[in-house]
Amino acid sequence: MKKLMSLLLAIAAISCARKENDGQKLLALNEDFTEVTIAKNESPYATLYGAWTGKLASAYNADKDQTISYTITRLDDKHHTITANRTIDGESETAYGKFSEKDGKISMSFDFWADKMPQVQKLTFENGVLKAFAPLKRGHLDPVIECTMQRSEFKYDPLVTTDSAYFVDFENPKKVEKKLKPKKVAKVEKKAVDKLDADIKFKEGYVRPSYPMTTEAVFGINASAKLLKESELKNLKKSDLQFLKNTIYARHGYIFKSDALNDYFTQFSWYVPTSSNVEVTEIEQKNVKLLTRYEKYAEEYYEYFGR
Amino acid sequence: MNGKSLIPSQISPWFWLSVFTVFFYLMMRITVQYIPFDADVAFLRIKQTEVKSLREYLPIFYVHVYSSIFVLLAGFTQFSPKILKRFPKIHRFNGRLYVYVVLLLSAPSGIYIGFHANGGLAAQISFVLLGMLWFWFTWKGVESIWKRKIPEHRNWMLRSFALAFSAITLRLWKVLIIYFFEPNPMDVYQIIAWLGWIPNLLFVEYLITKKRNK
Repeated sequence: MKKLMSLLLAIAAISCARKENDGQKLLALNEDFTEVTIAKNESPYATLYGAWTGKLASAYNADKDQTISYTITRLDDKHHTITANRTIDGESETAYGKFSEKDGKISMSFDFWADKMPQVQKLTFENGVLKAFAPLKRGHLDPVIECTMQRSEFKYDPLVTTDSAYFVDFENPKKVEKKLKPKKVAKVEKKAVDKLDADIKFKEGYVRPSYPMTTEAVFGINASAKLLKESELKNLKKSDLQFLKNTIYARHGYIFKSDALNDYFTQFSWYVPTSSNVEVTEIEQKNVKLLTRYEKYAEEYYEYFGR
Repeated sequence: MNGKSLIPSQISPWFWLSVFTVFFYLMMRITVQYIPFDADVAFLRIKQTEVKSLREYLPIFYVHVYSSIFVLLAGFTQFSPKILKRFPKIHRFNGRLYVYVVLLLSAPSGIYIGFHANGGLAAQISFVLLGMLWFWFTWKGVESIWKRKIPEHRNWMLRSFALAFSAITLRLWKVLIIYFFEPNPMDVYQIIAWLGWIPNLLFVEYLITKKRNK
């Protein structure tokens, strides 16, 4: 009985102590939506961002024409790197590449694997026209087939949803490895230290990070179509509430700073990232406010002593 | 009453005092969040539908929050045979404070907010039932001391305090369940609504029967 009480006490004390210093860390998980500005994006690459689709003709067989699409989400001026979501015949993956700019022409090259071979795909962007090139013969750089890509136009639709696809926030693992204090090790004998080292290594090898993930409770809730009621949000965890907010912004073509969110939303054909400044509707603004209120409550109370 | 407590006497009073201090501190932290008076703070953040549509909800909620801390404070001294023997005045004073606060403020307000509890019907039934039993046990405790039936008084008051203590056990269960299973908030709420007070009541019933059979 006494031991049990001490255990309960310890857990209660720990949970309280944790509450003190968690406030700031928790905020880092979400995108910063505090300022919803009206101005449109002024990035020099604004015309290139977003989704493009084209048909790569097969040289041998017209039935083997491939539908290819690129959703370009980020160009990094400083490192000349480019991030996109690449879809070929319905199979999509994140593609990373490099780009260079000369006389207003942007040349891009993406590396990826196909048929167990490293492949390169080159694209050019000039005067608002995006062209993709594919080698005619596998493994040869010349000659190439050229394909002009069409822009998938962004159109706001409050009714599009993410269906039942879970979102896992791989960028923000929940549990962080803890370092052992050197003091403790120093006191132990040499033999014991070796054993302890082995123990630590064993444990470190098996640290399984866990990530915030949306839950089933979020399926079917649309925060753009109508005003949300409190009762709809009661059973949602913090990850769900943040996800609902992010989905509102995704519908407006928001380019997320988080790669995890970009990767997630590019799997939906309705997501056409166009800008990093978006304007939301009045309904959505009210829903964001309500969601933020619930998110704050979840942060402060979900795992702590309280209700 | 033979002067022996129902609570095992080999446990040092200092232990109980520290238990009390920790729990009282935790509950006090929850209470001070509601000072100064605010309609949109802590638990009320997810209760805006009730706050805005029911005019009486907020005042009654605040009656419950502000009064309940006195219930815990008054209740903790009551089961010590030493205090009862040496300072019967403290026992009488705190006892009166406890029953007045429970019967007039905490239990009725608890029943009302139980009707509007989170977690749907299952949780609402639990909280309303908890409030009604709490009122009833406390009332029986008062009645039995009027008739100077001391063992009966002690038993009813033990039951009453077991339910009062659910304020703490409910929140402890919540911390434990979330630590191990991380369920969605209302799923855990429906569980703790019942887990918060039923085991408490079973525990004191066990103590009472054990004592009776000696």
